[in-house]
Order: sequence, then structure tokens, then C-alpha cells
Amino acid sequence: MRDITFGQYYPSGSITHRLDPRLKILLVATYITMVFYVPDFWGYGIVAFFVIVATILSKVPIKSVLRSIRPIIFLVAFTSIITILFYSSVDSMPDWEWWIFKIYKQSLYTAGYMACRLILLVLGPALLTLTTTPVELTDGLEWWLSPFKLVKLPVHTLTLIMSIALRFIPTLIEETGKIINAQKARCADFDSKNIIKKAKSMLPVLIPLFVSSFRRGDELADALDSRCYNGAKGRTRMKQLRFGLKDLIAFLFLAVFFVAILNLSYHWIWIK
Amino acid sequence: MTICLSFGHYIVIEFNNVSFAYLGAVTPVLYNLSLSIEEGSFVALCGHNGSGKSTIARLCNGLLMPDKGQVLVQGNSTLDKRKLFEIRKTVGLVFQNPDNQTVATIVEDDVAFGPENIGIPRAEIRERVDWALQVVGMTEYAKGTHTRLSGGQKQRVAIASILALKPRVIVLDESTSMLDPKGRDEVLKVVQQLNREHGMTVIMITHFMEEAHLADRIVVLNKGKIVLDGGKEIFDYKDILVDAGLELPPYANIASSLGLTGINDEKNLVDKLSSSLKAQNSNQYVVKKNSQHYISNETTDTLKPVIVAAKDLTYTYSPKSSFAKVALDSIDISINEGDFLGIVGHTGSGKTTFVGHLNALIKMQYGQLVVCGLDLSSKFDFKSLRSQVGMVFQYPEYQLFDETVAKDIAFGPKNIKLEQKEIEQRVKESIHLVGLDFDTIANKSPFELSGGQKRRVALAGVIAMRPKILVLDEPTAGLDPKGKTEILDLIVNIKHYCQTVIMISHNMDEVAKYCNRVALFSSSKLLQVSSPKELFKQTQLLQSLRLDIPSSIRIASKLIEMGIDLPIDILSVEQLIEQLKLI
Repeated sequence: MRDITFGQYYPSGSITHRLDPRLKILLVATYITMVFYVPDFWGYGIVAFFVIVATILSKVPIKSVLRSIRPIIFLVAFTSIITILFYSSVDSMPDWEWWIFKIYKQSLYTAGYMACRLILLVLGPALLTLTTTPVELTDGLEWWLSPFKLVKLPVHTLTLIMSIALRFIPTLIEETGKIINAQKARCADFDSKNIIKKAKSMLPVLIPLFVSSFRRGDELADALDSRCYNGAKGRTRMKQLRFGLKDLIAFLFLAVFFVAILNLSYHWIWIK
Repeated sequence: MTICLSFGHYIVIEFNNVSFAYLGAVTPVLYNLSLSIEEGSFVALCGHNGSGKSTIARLCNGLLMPDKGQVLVQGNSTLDKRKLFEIRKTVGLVFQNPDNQTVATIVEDDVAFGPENIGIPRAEIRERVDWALQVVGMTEYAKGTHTRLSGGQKQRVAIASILALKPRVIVLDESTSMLDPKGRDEVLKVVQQLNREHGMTVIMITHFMEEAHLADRIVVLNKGKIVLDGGKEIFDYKDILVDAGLELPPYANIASSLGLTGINDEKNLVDKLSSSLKAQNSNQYVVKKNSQHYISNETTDTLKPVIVAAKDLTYTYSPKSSFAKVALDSIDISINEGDFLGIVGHTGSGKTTFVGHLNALIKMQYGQLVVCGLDLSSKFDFKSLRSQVGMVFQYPEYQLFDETVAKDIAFGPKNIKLEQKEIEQRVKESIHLVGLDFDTIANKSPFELSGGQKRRVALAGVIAMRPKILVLDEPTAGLDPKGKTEILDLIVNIKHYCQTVIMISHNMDEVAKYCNRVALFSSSKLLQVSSPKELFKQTQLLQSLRLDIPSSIRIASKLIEMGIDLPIDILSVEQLIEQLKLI
């Protein structure tokens, strides 16, 4: 449980941390688009290079970044196996055959391709939350969403809710651990293989967690009120977002990267 | 009662005949209450759980509105919506739970939240944040994340967040009740400094009399009414305090039992006692240091069978990684059947990790551990172990989940697959054991009970397994004095059934009074296991670990220093009073 790194900020004061959050959000959004656009492993090489450079610059331990993959390992393994076993092709003969399964070389390629896509998809946003404080993140997001204020969308409130959610992730994870231990001490069985039994066994954890989340919400509301919270009206900010030289360089880097990937898909420029 | 008017003359908060009832409640929490708070004063507001203290805090800044009467802050009524922000800027509230009052992950962002809300210009917010963090001594953590702070540090940040709004009054709603002694000291220091050096008005809501003692004025509430209001002389009214569910601070308890009046602190008591005793015995007075020993009936019976035996027990969190942290360092201990073992030591000293081993919530890494005849270093039956080692965590009421009290208590027995009849029998028995009435409570939802009742139900849920060992992690945390005594008395009673009790506690008075053996943990090591007498004799050791010394021993040893002939091993205030009466 404690290994969940999503939404956990890792302070190190590096260049990746200090980039303008608006730019970082743009970077990650583009990055995700790229991951879907990439046609082959060469493209993934470029995308991986991008995320590796950003990780090295961030001084966040590689381990913490990689840990963000852990929750999806099962998904990756599952999709890979399914792809390999049930891939079928009419054009070519299977390369290996075993019992009812026909295995094609092409399926191995596709499985690897999908695994790369899933893993890279998670790494980018994980690095974003590791290197960007929730307040920066919400400020950046609020800036991007500000056009929606014209249609009366409560952008500020929505982004505040998001930052509070991020703030409470570690607290709730800790609390879940405590409740699980308390129920285990009363001989609760969480290791049952039976899925229905397993779901049922989570009730003694989920109910107290819900109750306490509501209690926390109540208390937090009082704390917000006590600190004169009144929505976006008349609100100022301690930290100003600044787009500086480093941001410009990062932006150019991104542009080159973007062109390189698109080139892989559309072959604008032929490299021989 | 006289109102202490020695401080400022300006009234900053005024309650005029305020009545308040929560929605749907039949009886009001506050009834016709009037109270004035002078600028610059330090007021302690005391009362049992449910006496209306927290309601008063929330009425002070308009989080709640009075049903009748009015609350004036600098002359503005909280009912006036236009003045609400003015009032909230003037009166800052710090709440109980350190985790539930922070908005932002980063410390300085959280402190900036208030001033940002009221539209302070950017440069000034920065100044205010830096200033507020400096006042509470948290400057070096400005860019740190909230989760990595200790409870005391979190509460200091919460205070800074309020200070950044530059209030004139700061209200602390039981803000120390969830902290360990170190955290509590940190917070109290900051609060005292705010009052003395910055002239801030402080209203401290508490049920710890040691804390109330720091204030210039103490207001005691009982069932929504003010029953005492004054300086330290209110400690002369023992009966009224006890009736309000409170207790006297130990020195005042001794003074009142010996019929001494006008004593306002521990030093004062020691001086008075020693001078009067010396005068009384001036002729035949002989200095006989520590000659006599208080004979206690608590002795360790080593003939009883060993129920927990640990040898070389060692545990490391995230081993092999760069974050590796040794939590237990070769622990050797044997606990006998019938022991009431106290476990003391600072937060992070390894206490919780050790007890987590006893029912295998923490998987053993190294060493030997035998609990109730099961060898935990080899294969064993988890359910058998966990039904024999009952564990009550801190704030156990947060684990309640079922529709009815009876069903919730039956959760454990059901898990060990007992027969329906047996389960019913045990539910009845354990409800009775925790001092509740089966017929009135069994079919209620646990969520509609009072805080104290919930804790009892949670305790019942553990003892329904009929454990041989009952492990309790700070069972009295967050309770008022009356609730504390009740729970401890219950535990003594339950001990007749489950024989062995292990209790983690920060409260040395409790440990001295109830335990027959004490294990002292420090930096992952078990320093010693001894009787409370032997442990608390070593005042220097305890002071070097910055642990408290039971008040009875603290006062007795001061008296001994003054040349009074007293045994050193007096373990409770009652015993000390008894001894002093003899002289």
C-alpha cells in the first residue's frame, strides 16, 4: 500500500521541479498523445529517451519513478499474455503451435508494443506529480482551464478539490493500513482466493474508511471556513507562475521531439 | 467566582446569554451562557467530553451561530454576515486532528492559504508566511511535505496557518489531545510564547489540568454551564471539578487532601510542606534518606508460566533499500502469565513494532519469538494466534463498521468460526465486561453512540475472542480524565478474565499506578524491564530520555531533597497523600 507513489511529491529542487507547471502540464499532455501516436519501437525509443532525460534531470530516485508502474504490472502481464495466446492472423502461418494455442511472431511484437505503451503512459504523469507540488499543479491546471470560466465553470473550486484530493492520498493510505491491521487482529481474512468472499471481506475496511473520510471532510470544511475561504473571489497568490528561459528551452526540446515522432508516423522528411 | 481582571481591559470576545442546540438534539449544549474574554489574556476552557467546549470554540468565529443571545467579536455580532470575514480574521481556530486542517501538501503553501483567501498582496503574503513559520519554529520545513512531519510539527504548522491571518485571538480546540508528550510540549511552548511575547489572546480548550494550569484564567464548564471561573484558586474547589468530570492537577490534589489552601504550583507545595513538616518535627527531626520503602502488593511472580518469550528479535523496515531503518534491535524479553506490562518510550522507539510482532501483524524477520506456545519463527496457525492475542489499537472506535453493536462485536468470534450460540454468549459477556447494558445497546448502530461508548464497544469486540493476552496501544488517548479512569478500571477488571495485559502508554502516572512491570524502549532497543519502582527510581535516566516521571515520584523526590523522610518508591498520588498524612 505504501508503495503507491502517484500523487506523492518528491522534493529535490531540480530543474524539472522548477519548470513552469503550465509547461509541464503541456509537456505531459503532448507526451501522452505521442505515446498513442508512435508507430514502432523506434518511436518508443524517442519517447523513452524523453522521459529518461526528464527523470535524470529531476534527481528523483529512479526507483521511486519505477515504483509507479507497480500497480499496472498485473494489467501489463495480463494483456500481454492474452495478446500472445489469442492473436490470430489469416495471412501467415503460426510460428509455434502448442495445444490449442497458435503463436505468431507478430503477436510477440504486438504484446511488447502494448506493454511499452502502458508503461510509458504511466511514467509521464507519475513524474509530473513527483516533481510538481499540488499547488503548482492546480495553479497550472487552472490556467489551462481558465477559458472555461467564460462558460461559468467553477474552475478554481474544481482545481482546489483536486489539490485537496492529492493532499489526502497519503493520509488515507495510512489510515487504510491501520484499519486493515485492526480487522486482521480480529481474525479477519483478507487472503481469500474467492473473489466474492474477498469483496465481502473488504467491507469492514471500506465502511470505517468512508465514515472517517466524511469526518475528515467535515473538519476540513471547518478549517477552510476558519481560514476565510471564499472561493476564487478576491483571492491572491503567493507564488506567481513565471515562464523563463529554462521553460523556453524545455519547450523547444519538446517541439523537436514532437516533430521527430510525427515524422515517424507520416514520413515528412526522409532520413536514409 | 471572581473574574481575574489583571490583564487588558478591552473585551475582545463577548458571549451574551448564548444558548445553542445542535439540529435535532433535545437538550441544548449551551444554555444562557455569558462570558467575556479580555484582550491579551490566556484562558483555559475546561470540561468533560460533551460539556460544550468545542461548541464555544465554533461560536467564537461564526462557524456556528447562537440560537439565542449573541456572540460579539470586537463589538461585531457573528450573526452579521457582512462582518463574518472580519471576525474570522480576528479569531483563528486550531483544531484537534493534525491531519484534517491542512489544505496543501507543501508546508509554506498551506500557511499561505489564509492570506491568499483574504486577498493580501503577493509580497506581503511571503512576509507573513516567513514570519508565521519562524514564530512556530518551522522555518526549515517550509518547503517540506506535510506527511513527513510529526504530529507536534503538524500542529505547529496549523498554528502558523492561523497566524498568517494576523489574528488577535487564537482558539485551540483540544489541539494537543492527539499528540505525544513531546509534541504536546512543542505546541504548548509556542502557545505560551504567543501569549507572552506577541500579546496574543489565547483560548485553550482542554481537559488536561496540567495544561489548564498554564493559563491565567480557568473557566470550567459542566453540561453547558459555567461552574467555575477564576485563577488557580479554582483548584480549591475539588468537588465542583470532579463533578464536572475533571480532576485536580496532582499538586492541587495533594494540597486539598492535606487541607492546604492557596497553593498555586508544585514548587509552592513542596516549599510549604517541607517548612511546615520541619517546624512540626523540629526537635526530633532526623534526616533518614530513603530508608523506608513503601510496601506494595505488586510483585513479579516469576513462577508463573512464560506466555511471551522473545530472543534476539530484530526487525528492519524496507531492508536492503537506502531507506532501511532498524525498528527493533535484538529484543530479549519474557512476559509471564498474569503480568500487567507497561511499554514506555518515545514515538518511534520501537514499541508499536514490538507489539505488532505479538500477533504477527508484522512478519518476523530475525530472532526467536514464542507467543502462547506458538513458535512464530516457523509455521503456525494465524487464527489461533490472533484469537489468543487480542489487540486494541489507538482510537479503536475508528474500526467499528457493522449495523449494530452486537454484530460488530460478533465479527471476531465469527471469524474464528464459533457456533452461533457461543457467539451470542460471548457478545453478551463482553458487553457486560466493558460496563455497558446489553438490552439498551446491542441493537443500536455503533455510529450513534458517544465517543466513550464507541471505545468500549471496540474493546468488547476484541475481548469477545477471549484472548489470553490483551494488548492495548494507548487506550486512554483523547479521553477526558473521567473517561480515562473508567477505561483503566475496566481494563483492571478485564484482566481477571484474560490474565495478561500489555499496555503502551505515554502517561507515566498510569503506568506507575497500574503496571507491575515496565519495558523501556529507546531508539529501537529494549533498555530494561523492571518493576515501576525500580524504573522510576532512575530519574536521571528518564530525564535523559526526556520521558516524564510520575507526578507522585517527582513531588516525593523533591520533598526528600528538602529533607523530608519519605519512601522514594511511591507510585501513586493516593499513596503519597497517605504517607504524608502519616507524618
